[in-house]
Amino acid sequence: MTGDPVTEMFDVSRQPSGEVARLDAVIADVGDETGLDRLREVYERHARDLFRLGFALTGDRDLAEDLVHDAFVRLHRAPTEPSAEAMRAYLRRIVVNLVRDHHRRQVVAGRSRPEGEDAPSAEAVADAADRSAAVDAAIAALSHRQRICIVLHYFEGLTDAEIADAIGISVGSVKTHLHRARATLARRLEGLR
Amino acid sequence: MTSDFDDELRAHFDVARDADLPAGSFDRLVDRLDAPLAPLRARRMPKLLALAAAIVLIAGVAAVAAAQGGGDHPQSVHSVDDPTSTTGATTTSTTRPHHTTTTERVPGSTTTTTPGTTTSTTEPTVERDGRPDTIAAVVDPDGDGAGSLVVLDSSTGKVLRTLVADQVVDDVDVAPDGTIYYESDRSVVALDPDSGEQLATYPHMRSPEVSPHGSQLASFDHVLGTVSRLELASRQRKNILGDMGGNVPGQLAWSRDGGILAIEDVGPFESPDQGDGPPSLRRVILTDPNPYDDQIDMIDESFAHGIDDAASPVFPADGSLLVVSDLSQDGRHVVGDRMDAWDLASGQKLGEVSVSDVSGLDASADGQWVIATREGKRPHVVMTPAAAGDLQDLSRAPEGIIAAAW
Repeated sequence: MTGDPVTEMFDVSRQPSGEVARLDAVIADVGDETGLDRLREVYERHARDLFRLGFALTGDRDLAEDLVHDAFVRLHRAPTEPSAEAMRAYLRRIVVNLVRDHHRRQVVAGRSRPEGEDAPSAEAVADAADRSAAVDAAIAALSHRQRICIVLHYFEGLTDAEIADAIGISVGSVKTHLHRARATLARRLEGLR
Repeated sequence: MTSDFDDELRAHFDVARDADLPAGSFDRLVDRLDAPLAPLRARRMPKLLALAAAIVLIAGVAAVAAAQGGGDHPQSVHSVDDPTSTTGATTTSTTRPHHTTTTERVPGSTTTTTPGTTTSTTEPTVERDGRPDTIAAVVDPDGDGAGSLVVLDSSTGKVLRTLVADQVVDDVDVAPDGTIYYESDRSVVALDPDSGEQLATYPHMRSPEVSPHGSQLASFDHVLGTVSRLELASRQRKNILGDMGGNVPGQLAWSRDGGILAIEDVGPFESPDQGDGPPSLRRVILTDPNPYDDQIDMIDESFAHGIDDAASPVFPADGSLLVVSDLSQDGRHVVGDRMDAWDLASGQKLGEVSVSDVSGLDASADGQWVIATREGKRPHVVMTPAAAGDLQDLSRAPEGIIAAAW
């Protein structure tokens, strides 16, 4: 990058006749400097796992890809990068936070139920077409935090301490959420056994 | 719980384990990254138009500077249509009017004419506009950790008195009765600003924040990793927030009625001590100062998960929550280029003010004024009337201010 692109754009004396081409060159410089090659390397290493985590958390492939993109946009804009060892946990936490924010926006917009309220009844769960759909419905009916704990535990295989680190709560809270979530799921799925 | 049930839950996610990213995913990410450049592309204008725009821009800046005596920095307050929009959805900008001047003093402010003042000012009398007369500030000009606790004139930034010199001082807060609480070498010290007498020392405590009525002191216990409040009269402590799972709190702030404690939550990849790592995990969470246990007890569903990319919470008098956002790393410090106002009732963002490299905020006792500490090569203090957007430099403030309160 040769300088501030906006400043250069207004510097008429330095603008060649092909102004559009000049501006495109400035934009290309911006792109080069931001390290797309490095981003691609990290993306290829982590994006698939993050996508799967996002899918497990939301059940929505399109949303999961958006979450992955959002996470990498944040990483890309961060002034410093976590170490290679911390990268996976860092990106995972961003995705979890983004899912949380998505949930919050839906609640604020009235498109989703607040945590612990309005959960589908056992009858509704039992009406699900098959066992897998019933499990889906039962997990979806958990509180947001319980659902994240369940996914991070059973899908990601994280320990309680790792879950606590990922979502920013205490280990004790994780244990409590997991215990209550298991109990709720078992109760709601009991009739289908 | 049976292991069969655990196995079933693990197997339930096999569908997700087999899922794969759609083709072209990285290219779509690159398109997203290009989006901020779109405004540049849109400004492909002829040379003359560009030149005219530049002239208008320069003339406008000069006019504003002349109108403000060259010392103030007009700030635009942007309305935000969609509070959840990641782009901010800025639609309009309005320059706020200046506050009118008045000689009214604000309850709870400290005074500049107390005995023991070591430096007398010869500055001409400055018209007051309702702000407290003085500011308590921590100054670390060399950034080496050895700093001073000083009292500044709130209009000019001139150092009126030095209360503590050449010690490890990190944070400061001023109680409604004028008592100064400062963090020194990971303890909190209560200081009488008039006599300079140390009234009490609270070991293992950091980030002191006195409640609006002065009866409680919130702080971070760096040994236990908890946020607690101390009843100053009875010396009884109550945990507000238990183990934060590797996170540490930064700045604390009480709401005007004392019913909410806002906590700057610093992620595990970035702690104040380490000073490295991306700042994107910083957020502000709102907690109940009287929780039923020591777990996080969020105030409202709208803020149940905090405000991401936010730091330095304060509660101005208008009942809103003000935070610094658009964060980036500046040396050891995390600074922001925007202040966002949030409505506590609806959980929606009310608006934003453009600032520059701002970190710590503190509201005056009446909530009408907010100090913002600016970091950088020449750190200084700026102020804004809490309900408006004008920032005013304190031209005579010393370099290296890392915290300020009033």
